[in-house]
Amino acid sequence: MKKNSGFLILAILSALAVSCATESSVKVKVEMSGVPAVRLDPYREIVLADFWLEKAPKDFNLNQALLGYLQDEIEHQFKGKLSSKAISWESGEMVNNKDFWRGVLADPQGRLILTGKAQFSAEVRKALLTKDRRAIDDGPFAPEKAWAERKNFVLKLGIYLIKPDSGEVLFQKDFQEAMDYENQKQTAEFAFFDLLQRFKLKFFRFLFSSEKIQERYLLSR
Amino acid sequence: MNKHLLSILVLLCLTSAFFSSCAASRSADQIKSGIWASERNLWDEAIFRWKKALAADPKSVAAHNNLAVAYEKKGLFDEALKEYELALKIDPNNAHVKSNYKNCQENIQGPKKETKDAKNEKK
Repeated sequence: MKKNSGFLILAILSALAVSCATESSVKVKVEMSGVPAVRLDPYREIVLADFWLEKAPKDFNLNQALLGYLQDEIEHQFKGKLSSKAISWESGEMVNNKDFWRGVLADPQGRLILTGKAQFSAEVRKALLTKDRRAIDDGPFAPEKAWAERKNFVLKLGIYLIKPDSGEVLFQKDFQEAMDYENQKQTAEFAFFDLLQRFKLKFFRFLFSSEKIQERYLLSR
Repeated sequence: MNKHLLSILVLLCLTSAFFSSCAASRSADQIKSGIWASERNLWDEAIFRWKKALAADPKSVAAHNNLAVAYEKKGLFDEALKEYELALKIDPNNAHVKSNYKNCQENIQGPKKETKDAKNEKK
């Protein structure tokens, strides 16, 4: 009896110890908003100006496609007005020319210029297939090609946000996206919009401080 | 029979002592309530709970840290940094708080750094 009650006490206490023992920290995934690179609330209008094209495809008008896409996507999140402006670029260096940007808009007050440099290129690349070489070389049939061709597209965008009343660059960041396609007939325009989707996710995180899932620790004691 | 009663009494004493120490170790139920609320995305409620926990124990690292996470979530970055710094002042070696603080700083400084780079490029 004595032994049994002692054992009972120990069993109950150990059960309580287990129930009371808690993790001191909890890892949580929280959607955190970042700090926007530029506060957009003081601006009533964003002017999308033509980009300096370093390398452009022949199949479609890169500036038109780029500005059209940006306009559609930005107007979902920006409360002000959006407009576009044709720019006659002489060189890519003009993007840092304050005097040039100061004279671009007749009424610069409350407006922000979004422009930059764009480069879009396509090339066919050889890719090594990850197959067992013996299966390729020693098979009973004609050996398979160990190399395959992939169509590679690269989009490089240097984005600038410029204050037109002072010509000051408020934000600048370079983005680069690349994608390989097995389909040799993949059109440049289709790939361009694929790459733009990826670019948008990154750029909007800076522009609108889109929410991003981050890990944090909450402490329970 | 007396022995049996005695063992029951001992058991009762031990369990009550254990419960009270357990409650003391979880110094504030408010902290747990706050975590419960935050897991349900009720961040205002969580802030309320953790502020109460701080009022009861101003040196609670957990309350300062959790409050900082909640402020970050609400986009109140200055307040968040302040709370992380207070937590680290109390417990400078807390790896979880250090990690949160570092991530918070990166979250805030990321875009700002880009603008600085842009300025350097212009020079």
